[in-house]
Amino acid sequence: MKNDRMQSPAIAAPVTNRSASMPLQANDTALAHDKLSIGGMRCAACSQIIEYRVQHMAGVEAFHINAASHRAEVRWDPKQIGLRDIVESISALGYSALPAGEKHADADHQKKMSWWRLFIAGFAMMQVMMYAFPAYLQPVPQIDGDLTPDIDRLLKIASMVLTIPVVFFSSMPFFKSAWRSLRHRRIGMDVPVSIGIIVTFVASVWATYRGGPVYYDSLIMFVMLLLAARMIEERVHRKSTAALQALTELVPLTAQRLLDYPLSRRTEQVPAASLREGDLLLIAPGAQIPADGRVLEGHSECDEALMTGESQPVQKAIGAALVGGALNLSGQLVMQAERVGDATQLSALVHKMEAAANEKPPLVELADRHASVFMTAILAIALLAALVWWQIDASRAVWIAVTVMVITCPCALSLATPSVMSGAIGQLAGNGVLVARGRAIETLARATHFVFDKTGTLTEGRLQLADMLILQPGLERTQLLNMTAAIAAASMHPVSKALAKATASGGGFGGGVQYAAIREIAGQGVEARDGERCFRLGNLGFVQELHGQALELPASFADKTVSALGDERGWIALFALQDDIRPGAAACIAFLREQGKQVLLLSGDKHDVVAKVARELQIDAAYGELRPEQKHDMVRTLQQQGAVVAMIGDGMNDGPVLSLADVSIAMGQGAPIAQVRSDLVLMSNRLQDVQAAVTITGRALALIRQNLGWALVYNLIAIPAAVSGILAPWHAAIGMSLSSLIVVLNSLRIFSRRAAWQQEDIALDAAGQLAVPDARG
Amino acid sequence: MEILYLLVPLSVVLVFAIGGVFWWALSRRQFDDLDEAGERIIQDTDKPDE
Repeated sequence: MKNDRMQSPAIAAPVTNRSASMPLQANDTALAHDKLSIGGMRCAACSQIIEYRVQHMAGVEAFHINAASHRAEVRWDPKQIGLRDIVESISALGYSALPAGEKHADADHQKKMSWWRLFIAGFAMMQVMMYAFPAYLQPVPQIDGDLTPDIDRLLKIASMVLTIPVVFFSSMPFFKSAWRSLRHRRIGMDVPVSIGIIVTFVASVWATYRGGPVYYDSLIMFVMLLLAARMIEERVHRKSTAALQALTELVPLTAQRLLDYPLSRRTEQVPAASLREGDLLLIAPGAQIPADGRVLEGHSECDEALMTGESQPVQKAIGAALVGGALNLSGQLVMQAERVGDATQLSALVHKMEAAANEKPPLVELADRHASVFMTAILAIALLAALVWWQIDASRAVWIAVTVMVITCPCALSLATPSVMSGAIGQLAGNGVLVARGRAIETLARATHFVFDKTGTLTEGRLQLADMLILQPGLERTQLLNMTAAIAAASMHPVSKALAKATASGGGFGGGVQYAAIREIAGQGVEARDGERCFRLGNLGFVQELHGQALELPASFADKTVSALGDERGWIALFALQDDIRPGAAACIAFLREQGKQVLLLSGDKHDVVAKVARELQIDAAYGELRPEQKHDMVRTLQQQGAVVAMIGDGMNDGPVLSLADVSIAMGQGAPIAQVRSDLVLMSNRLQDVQAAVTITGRALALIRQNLGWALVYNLIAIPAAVSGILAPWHAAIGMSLSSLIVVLNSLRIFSRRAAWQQEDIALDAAGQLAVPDARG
Repeated sequence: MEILYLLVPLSVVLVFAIGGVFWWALSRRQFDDLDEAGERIIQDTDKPDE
């Protein structure tokens, strides 16, 4: 498959002036040096193959692929070979090589620095603790050997020397962040942390030369714990954004722009970044589509898996919409670009996912806001205490102030929620639930009403064509099949997919039938135009709109899902489809009712079918034949009555209603489009996972409340104790570490116990399904 | 206990030395891929005898 990335102008340009040359030895000619991002590697052997090939190319001085990051460093002699040749040889092997973006390098550097900071803090902590040991043992008379003041000072100086890198290097992120928040006139979480670190350090240095207890070990441990907590947070964050990076790299770098279409098919190659709305582009078979647009000419299939997760190719005829980043499979297409660059669906997707991942849940925002006030109060109290004690006993004043600031450790507050959230997200992922938006966890825990869609959610979505009735006199079966296949193939709705499959196998696709314009109306059906004739395939009501004729449904069609094909003149054919209820549905509904939640079923399907499903699953409130607007209104009414509504739907077809619900769960199989439109995605399409989600989020909310409650109680006890002077700074250090530890340990409780839904899973397996029970987190 | 006057400063120097060695090893990418060295033995990169 020709890879048009090879011809990217970015690579074709001379490379030696892009990056610094690094000569290997003093007498070497200047070598060019660059980083590449290698794509398509699926195993360790892949990197070996590439390395072997490239290293043996004449002129390549060094080539090494980092198996973890899939980035390669290459050094070559520009006189003998160019970067373009190296990239071409990698492409020839079937992999892709792109210049590694600047953003990657920056993120890598950040990661490296974070690790260094943690390492230095940890290493120093261990050493300083050893130096501090003799002073701890000093008060115990049984231990032999006195600690003379000289040796005492020696140990203190040694501790101080090792603390210096910790304060001036490892703690920098806290100082920077504190400075940033101060510039915005806010007392952020890091301000008391920074003040605590600085004051403790200065006071300890003072004590090193003037006598008195020093607190280097507490200081370093404090810094190390905070750094470790932050690293874990960053890691979770980075994992979710890594998937996004992969998406952005799907849009090709170049495009073929048609010069004088329709007179000729001559094209020029242009960078995708320079495309504009209205540009006419030629998409070759096997090429990636560079922008969103519409088909003007040609006929092909496209792989839109990146958006829909659907591995089956979608037919594209004239008028069909094309998605930037999708892969054009078989035929050549002429398209008109409608949205380019940042405006494409893919970019919007990525931005939304990024924003969602960065969103802070309401509780965290609440904690942050209160923390600001809290911190200011603490600083005021510390200052006040210092002033008061200055009058009573000046030597203790500074230490009292330090104690107050250190003991009210912001770490309990700053760790309380994030630690639970990270655990909850991990636990949910282990149960097959992907969290697209952070606030979903809290909202799902508070949800009172659960609204289910029918097709594809409570039912498998694998509709089978049970019966077909031709209503138009004189229409041949094969003709009907061809027509239906052509129209149904343009939609991803479960009904369309079933019809496409059934009719395609019955009479073959295409057969010369092409429609000038095809468009899908969500939740209703597909409309195709052919010159003056207009066809509609979909819900009975949708098709009836075209011609207004009445219809008498044959008895055999009564309790099945019915789809119709019609044009302006009347009904053409009826299709009856059957769908199975998902195995986990009944258990899930029963569980929700047990928890006291209200369950509703809203569907666009016929009353009879909906009633049948509702009876089987024991859902009291079931409504059929609803248009999307009606579903919308029902949800809104519930919300106005004060309900917190959770919606479970198909991700791809229920978009508008899902976004209205307070929290939405999609059976999207992880398709990016489902992630954008919903808050939680059920990766394995199992309704048991809803039970897991409800239980885990409920527990998470309880734990967050416990943590915040503990932080509050702790501070209420600690502050008066510190101000009154009965505590020494080392008490403060212990109290601080202990309080954070308790918060973190409490958060770990989210991983405890095999709960009800997991036992359910085992029961199902024991009931005769030969599924292998998967290991749960 | 005068020996401590030697040992404690020596330990501080050692801490910096160890840190430096770790930095050097990291910059030579020795920690990048821990499995590669073991796999190199199994790789089939020998030239066939002509």
